[in-house]
Amino acid sequence: MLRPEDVEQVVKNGGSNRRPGARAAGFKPGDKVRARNLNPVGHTRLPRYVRGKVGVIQHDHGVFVFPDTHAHGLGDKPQHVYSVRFDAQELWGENDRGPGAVYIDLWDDYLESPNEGEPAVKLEPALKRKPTSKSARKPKPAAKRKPEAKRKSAAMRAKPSRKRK
Amino acid sequence: MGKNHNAPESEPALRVKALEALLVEKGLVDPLTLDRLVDTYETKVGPKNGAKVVARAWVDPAYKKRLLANATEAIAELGFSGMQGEDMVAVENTPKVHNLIVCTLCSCYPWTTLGLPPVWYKSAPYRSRAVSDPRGVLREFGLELAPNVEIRVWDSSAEVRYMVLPERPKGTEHMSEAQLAELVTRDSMIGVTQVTLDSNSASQT
Repeated sequence: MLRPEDVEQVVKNGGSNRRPGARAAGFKPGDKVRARNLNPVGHTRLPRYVRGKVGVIQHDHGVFVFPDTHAHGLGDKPQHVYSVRFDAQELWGENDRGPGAVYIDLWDDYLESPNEGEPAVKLEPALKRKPTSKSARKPKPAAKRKPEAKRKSAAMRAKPSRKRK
Repeated sequence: MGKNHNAPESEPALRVKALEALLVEKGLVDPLTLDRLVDTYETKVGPKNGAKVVARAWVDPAYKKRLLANATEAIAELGFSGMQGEDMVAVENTPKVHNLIVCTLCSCYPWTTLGLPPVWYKSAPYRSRAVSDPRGVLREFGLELAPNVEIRVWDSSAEVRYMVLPERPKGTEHMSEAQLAELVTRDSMIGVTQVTLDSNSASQT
């Protein structure tokens, strides 16, 4: 329990969740990343509006306690936290609101390489089995994804940052 | 406030009282500790700290360089380190880039330099619209930016706390560091307004 006489010291010194010691970083500044589409039941600091979106690592802040495990008493699981830049158009779709971006701090476990999600679609057996229609089929996945992204961002706009649900 | 017998206390106020009573009863918190914490952030730590940081950066290019490279250490030089300021980043406004701070998940805020967050900063509309429509939000704060200015929104979703280094207004070349600090407002360090020659006279709630 925090005692009244210790308030001054605690306020002055704080308590960083930074953890010393080297740990392997999954990414480096300049890397393209995709925020994973995680939907945990419990605590997370991965806002819904960036899930599945592609951004670029701007800066490595160092190693910090991982809230998703720490909040549930499952350990510190320290890992790198990065400042990731997401273009406004990537998050909210085409708009005429001028240039902009959201910079958000994300833990290693929230991120994946943007190509990681792709193979599942590209290696679809149905696509491989019918090579005759490859020229007609190829543009399809890209065309298909677009409206979905738009629909999503419209829904996001109403409440972009709910932690639960 | 509190003297009006007709108005019952708000739901959150009652819930906080109930929670505090429970925590005290169970011996988990000392009410005196809470009083000291509240007093510290109501009377001792506030946006005047951040204003001093900004004014120093405006008059001292070497300090500004240190602030933008490692804000935690540069702010500590002026004695403003501590809780909710352990890992700080300062972002600079320029004629081409405007920065805005938000915490979409809750209400993370740089206590050591700005004190406690204003009520609107914690509200759901600000938290959701600051990221999706920052230009619209700024317009509602009375700030119309040129269409080619890039808006960078900093979502303090992790452990890093952000503050904006606003642009120094024109016509302040003759002013001292202390006079400059008087001009710097809390809102300009969140990024919802700019610093102007009369910005300090505007009321802040």
